[in-house]
Amino acid sequence: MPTIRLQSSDGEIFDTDVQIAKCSGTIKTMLEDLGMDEGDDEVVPLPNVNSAILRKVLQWATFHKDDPIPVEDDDSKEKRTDDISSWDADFLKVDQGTLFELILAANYLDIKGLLDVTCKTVANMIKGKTPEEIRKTFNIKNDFTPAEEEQVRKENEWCEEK
Amino acid sequence: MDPSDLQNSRPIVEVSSSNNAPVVSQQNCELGRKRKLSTEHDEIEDGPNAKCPVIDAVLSIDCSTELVTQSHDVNILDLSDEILLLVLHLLDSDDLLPLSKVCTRLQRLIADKTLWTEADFTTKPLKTLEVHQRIKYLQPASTKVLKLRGMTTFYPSELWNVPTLTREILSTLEDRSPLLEHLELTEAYLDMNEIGINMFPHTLRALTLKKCALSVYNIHTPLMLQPHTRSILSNIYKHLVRLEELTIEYCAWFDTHDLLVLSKLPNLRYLSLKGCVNIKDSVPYASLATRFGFKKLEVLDLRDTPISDSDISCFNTVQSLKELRLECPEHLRTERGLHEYNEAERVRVEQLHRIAAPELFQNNDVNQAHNEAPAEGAGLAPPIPRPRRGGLAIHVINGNAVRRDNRIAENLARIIRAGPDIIIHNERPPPPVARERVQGPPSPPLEPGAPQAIVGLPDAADRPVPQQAGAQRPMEHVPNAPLLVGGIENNNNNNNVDRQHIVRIINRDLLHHRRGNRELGRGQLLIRRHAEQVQINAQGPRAPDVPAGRLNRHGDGNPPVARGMEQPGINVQLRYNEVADAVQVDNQQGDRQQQQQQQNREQNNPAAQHRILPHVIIMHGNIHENIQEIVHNANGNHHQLLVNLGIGQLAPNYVQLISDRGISSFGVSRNHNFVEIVMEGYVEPVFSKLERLSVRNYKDVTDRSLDHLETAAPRLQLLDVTGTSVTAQGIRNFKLSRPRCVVLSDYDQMANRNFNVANCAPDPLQQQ
Repeated sequence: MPTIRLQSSDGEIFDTDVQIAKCSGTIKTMLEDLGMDEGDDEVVPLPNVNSAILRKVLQWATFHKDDPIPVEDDDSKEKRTDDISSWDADFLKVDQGTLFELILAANYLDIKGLLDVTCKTVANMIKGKTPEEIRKTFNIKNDFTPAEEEQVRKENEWCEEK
Repeated sequence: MDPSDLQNSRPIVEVSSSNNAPVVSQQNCELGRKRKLSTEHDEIEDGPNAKCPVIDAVLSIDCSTELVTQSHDVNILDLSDEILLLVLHLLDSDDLLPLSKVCTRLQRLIADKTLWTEADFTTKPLKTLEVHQRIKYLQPASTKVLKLRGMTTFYPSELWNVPTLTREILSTLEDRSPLLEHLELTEAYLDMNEIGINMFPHTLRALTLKKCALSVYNIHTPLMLQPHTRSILSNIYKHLVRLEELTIEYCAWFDTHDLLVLSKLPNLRYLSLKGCVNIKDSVPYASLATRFGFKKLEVLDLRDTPISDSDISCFNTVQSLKELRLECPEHLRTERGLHEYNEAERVRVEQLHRIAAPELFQNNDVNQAHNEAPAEGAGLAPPIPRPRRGGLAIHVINGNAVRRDNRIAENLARIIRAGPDIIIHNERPPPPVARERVQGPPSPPLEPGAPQAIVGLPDAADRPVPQQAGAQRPMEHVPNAPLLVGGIENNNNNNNVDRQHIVRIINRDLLHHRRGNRELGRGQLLIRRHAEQVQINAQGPRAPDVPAGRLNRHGDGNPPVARGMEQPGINVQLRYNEVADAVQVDNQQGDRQQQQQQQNREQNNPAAQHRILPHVIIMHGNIHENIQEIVHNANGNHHQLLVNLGIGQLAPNYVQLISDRGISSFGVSRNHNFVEIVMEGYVEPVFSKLERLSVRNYKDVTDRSLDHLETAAPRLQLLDVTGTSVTAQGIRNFKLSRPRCVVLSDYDQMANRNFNVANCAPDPLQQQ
């Protein structure tokens, strides 16, 4: 099986099955554009992904390597976020930092499936929460000025009156 | 992280570690430790490694490389806008609202126009202010779809009828989303006294109203205080000219006459009236609507409605129709369900009849009016047609042995130019009422209870008259007791024909007038008005044999009604029974002589046989599904007119389900014999252009329909006959001659699977 060598930002080399590496649109394009031959010992540097995340990404890609190529149909932009497979759900039981890094990596590597499922996970974390709960969940600082805050508060009261 | 898990996972990870020298920055080491552990843990715990062939790369790396991970957790705000928007796009509109209050960056992001192309606020029921607040999030440049959910599911709690849309909201909506194309209202409450369809965004291409309630159902406001309520749909064709898709599902207020309005929508392609229970008996409107309108209608969804063959066959003239969906409502699928429905209908109709015209068979006693079943004079229940809200209904009360006369109907139509919405129904004669009950003490102004008469408002208003006349008040209409016939017909007591022609007009304006009268000094005003009316009307058609001086007895000095020339036809006069009765009583002695005159006259005038000697009773009735409501309000915005013309017997308004006849009205098949019965002379022999036809769960649809469609609908691509009485053989035959047409049926395994799916999402055809 042809392999490709991927190098993470921290210099680690991953010998990866080409087929798996091609889950990444970025790598796939690069391989095709550069015409890299199988068996080349050249290393593909991935400066934006550290080895921990790359390892996770490859793990995900390995499991999903046989997935059908997702059909791009913009019409059916269903807002479903509850269709995460159990494997993915388990896979994404990580702390927030990892999750966001996975999103960044998936985005950089152009792995649509992983990006989808990670975004859905984040969306699920947001759903049904009040602003305060969201701040707590994601450790977001409230940077509204007091005046703005007051206005927001008023608005809330106003709409919760009835 | 569960420490024990970590412990377990650790050795495995270490085993899988290779000796590759990691490049580790020392200061990251400490901070990255925790993260590293968690990653390892997840990896092992999730077990993907065990499940799938673990790639060499993963196994070969040194786990310590993880220490390289950034020391600080990546915050959600570290993600780029682009990525955050990806996440936000996955959220419902309702979930975006709290986000906008989290921080300034998110607030700015939430305002991104791409998030608001479809604003879907259906996740929870919204009160008026909540709607208003949400509307403000819409983006003028992008919002094309808006979905709102109202509060009507909370019925009967207090807030169920807070309006979902108000003038203010609609005008804000116009500002905030000038491009709005699709508006969907679910379970919304619309106060049509406040808003109208003309305030809806004129840019709409699709309008969806699901399970919406209208203000006319508001029983809290006295109906008399409400302005005249029009149908929500009136003039929709003038305003929403771009409308292509209209969905009105499970809305009880949709009535058959609304079809006429909808037919005028110039661009309507898709119409769904699924689950609208009042679509039944739509032939008078549907036939007109389909003949002159619905020029572009392609999809018609009438599932879950009690529609009949005749109704559906009206749509065979819509040449553009490509898809028709029919499905028997669930409660009518069994014999028992059907029977229960029809029985309930019969009972309801009976009650309505009593309420609509209580003075026909009972006394002033209102309580009796609705507590007591009418005497079954005819031995049959007196069904009247289903009430039509929003229109004028003419009820034709059948008499005994009255000959049919078309002229009567024609005259009637001429006289009653009440409005475009005229329905003529037949009614059975009301049962006679015991005469004894009639004999109330003739002192109307002293009867404070009089106005309370519910539908019997006429009674209340009428009472002064008999008192003035100093006569007892006999029953208005007792078929078996000629002497009791109204005063105008007084002289025709022996003439059964005359007696049986009674015109009743319920007129709102007059009612108002009368109400006003009642509140002022009743007697005088009423009488004066009464006399005027009599005069006016008496000039027209045949004037009754009014004894001279009769009106003088009313004491207001009005001249007696002049004797007019006799004319056949309808004589609409505003007279009250009491007057007539009083006169009759007073004239008992003179009866013989007058009868003699009358007979002579009739002999001279053959037309007299057909003439109607009506008196008009002003009555106000808002016949409603809910009887109690009628009883308590006894008013409304809709006129009702009862006419006794003695025409035929009324067919009860029983539901008739779609059968082969309805299906066969689409297109002409080679089996012309069968078809011509249905529609000879009505449709040109053309093939149906239907491409998709769904007829589900109608037991009366058999192989005959298949046989018909085989040749009559050459373009058919999809036929769904699930739950019908078609046979496997019939399907086989159909498929043989139409191999390209997909047939879904009980016999087809494929169909069965679809059917099951359809139970969850009952719209297999919607996906087209």
